[in-house]
Amino acid sequence: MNVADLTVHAPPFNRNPSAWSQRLPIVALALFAAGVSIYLALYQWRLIGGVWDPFFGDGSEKVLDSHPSEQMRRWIRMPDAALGAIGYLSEAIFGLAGSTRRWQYRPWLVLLFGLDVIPLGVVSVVLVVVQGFVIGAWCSLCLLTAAISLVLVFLAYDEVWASILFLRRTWRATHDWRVLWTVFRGGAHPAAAAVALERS
Amino acid sequence: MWPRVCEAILAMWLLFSPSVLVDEPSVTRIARGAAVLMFAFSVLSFAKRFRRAYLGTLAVALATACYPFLYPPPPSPLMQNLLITALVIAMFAIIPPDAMRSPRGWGELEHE
Repeated sequence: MNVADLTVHAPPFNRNPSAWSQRLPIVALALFAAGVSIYLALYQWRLIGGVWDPFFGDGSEKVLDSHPSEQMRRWIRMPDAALGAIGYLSEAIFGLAGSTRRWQYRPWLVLLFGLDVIPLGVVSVVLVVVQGFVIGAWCSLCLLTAAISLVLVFLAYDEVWASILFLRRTWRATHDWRVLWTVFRGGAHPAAAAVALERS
Repeated sequence: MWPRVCEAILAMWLLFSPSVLVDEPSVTRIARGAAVLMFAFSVLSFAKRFRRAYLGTLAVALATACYPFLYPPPPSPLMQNLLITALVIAMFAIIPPDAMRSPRGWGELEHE
């Protein structure tokens, strides 16, 4: 059985963005943020009596009990902090899945990971704006998880970008939708193998 | 195969959670039925012949996650547990069993 080299650099970067050294910090941060979100959800479920907030006093409780939060809870059928926890947990799960060459071997997984990380970062920023300007209160732990979301976007973008560039090079080399689809879902193709490590 | 193990553990939680949370007969039936199906699909995926059975887990998990939306809010604790567990199982069920290995075709191509 032929074994591929799993440590190659992903053009245009001089490193492997799918390496464990790159992905494990993302997983650790996402798990930490999931833990914080679960803590906030426990308050929204009234399983704990209050929320620790070092800067804004009862601001966290005002945010978590606010009208927008209650409205969202009716729409999504669970506390918004619980949905946040699911989002962070999914980032950790998708961060762990796949080999250290997944940017080439499983582009669909990397793009799914990107679709998970990047919108969550945007939603976090929107929620921070809602906190400050609509509710008029701040929640330290919510701000912390929002900051983590943005760090996660920064840490994850290069792998997503490497996969997108690989798919673009494959398309330019073949102009064949079937080849692009095959490569996108993890199939091998000689043209894609030829362009994978090319520097653009 | 770690995602299959996680799915099976979560399915077990879904199976027994009606005994922990406040029991509601209609939701309990759905939770236990879905749990048995998802557990079976996850375990079946270990057999080479049924390695795509995890897609059954994904389908059942997504259908189960839709169930709470058939009822007006607020959902009961058991219903929320059903929704959250189903969503987490669905995330694991997206990952194929051989995700950690390099696809065979790529290795062969690169050695030609």
